[in-house]
Amino acid sequence: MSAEAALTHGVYEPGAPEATNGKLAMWLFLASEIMLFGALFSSYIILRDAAPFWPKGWEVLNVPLATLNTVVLITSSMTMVLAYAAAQKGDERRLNGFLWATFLLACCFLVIKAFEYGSKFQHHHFPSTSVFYAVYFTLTGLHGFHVIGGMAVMLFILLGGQKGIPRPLFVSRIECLGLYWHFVDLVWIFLFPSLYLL
Amino acid sequence: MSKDAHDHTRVYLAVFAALLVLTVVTVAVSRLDLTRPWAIGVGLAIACLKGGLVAAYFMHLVSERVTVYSIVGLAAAAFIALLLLPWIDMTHPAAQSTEPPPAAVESAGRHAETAAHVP
Repeated sequence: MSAEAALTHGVYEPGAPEATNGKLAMWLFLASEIMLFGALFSSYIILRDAAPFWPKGWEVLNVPLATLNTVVLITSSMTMVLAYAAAQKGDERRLNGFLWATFLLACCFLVIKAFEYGSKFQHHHFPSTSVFYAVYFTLTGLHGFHVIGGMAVMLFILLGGQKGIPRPLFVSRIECLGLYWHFVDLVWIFLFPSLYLL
Repeated sequence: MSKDAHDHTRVYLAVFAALLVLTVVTVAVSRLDLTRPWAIGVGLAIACLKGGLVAAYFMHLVSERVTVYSIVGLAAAAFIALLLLPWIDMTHPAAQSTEPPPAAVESAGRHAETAAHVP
């Protein structure tokens, strides 16, 4: 098995590189993302501790909608990993199917988020309303932009933007997209309890 | 290879099921009248478990090697440090106060009145 094939199939041979350049770069990027969200989470703790009053998340935010969004995002993470498994097997039909499913679930997440934001705006709750809403909109908004970024890459691949590149490279790119998407899911897994439930 | 991929799919589905169950558990636990430290502890523990499952299986950290581990390890250590620093500050005896007087509230400062609480 060549080094390239070994990487594609996740089997390591002595002397073969441990990760593709793309995967290494993606993990470095994710490390910087961890720092970005880490700084925001840290600020959230400090602001919340220092605030004389902090509303309980479940009293002012829509927990059922956010729970539904959690389920949607977790499901999209599963369809993404299944898309990667299909890419590894060279099953283009399943790859496209699961990638479209992931894309549509991401759309679903944004639509639900839009309803949530819409209701907040209707009640005149904006980022400038209070420190709580500033934190809420900053964290969920930044997360939302990450969702949009992932969707853009998915659409690029789905519309044939990677056609004609060597298969191992293509599989590696799907893996990188998957890593990014699971990270977006992971951030939400921490955002959901800390903003809505605590 | 095909059998291997099939096994992977079963693992992915099992992780997915676990994530759904843990989501229900975390919402259910938040409805219980736990004291604040317990609510934070349990909520954070479930989130860490869910995050761990996603990182280990969906992001394939279980089968990575030292290069990726070192990047993730460094980032994780820095992340924990970022969260620990405010916690150390908050739990420091000199910084403890729960009900600041109105004047201190206005200036959003909590250090002015701390002297009264220091034994």
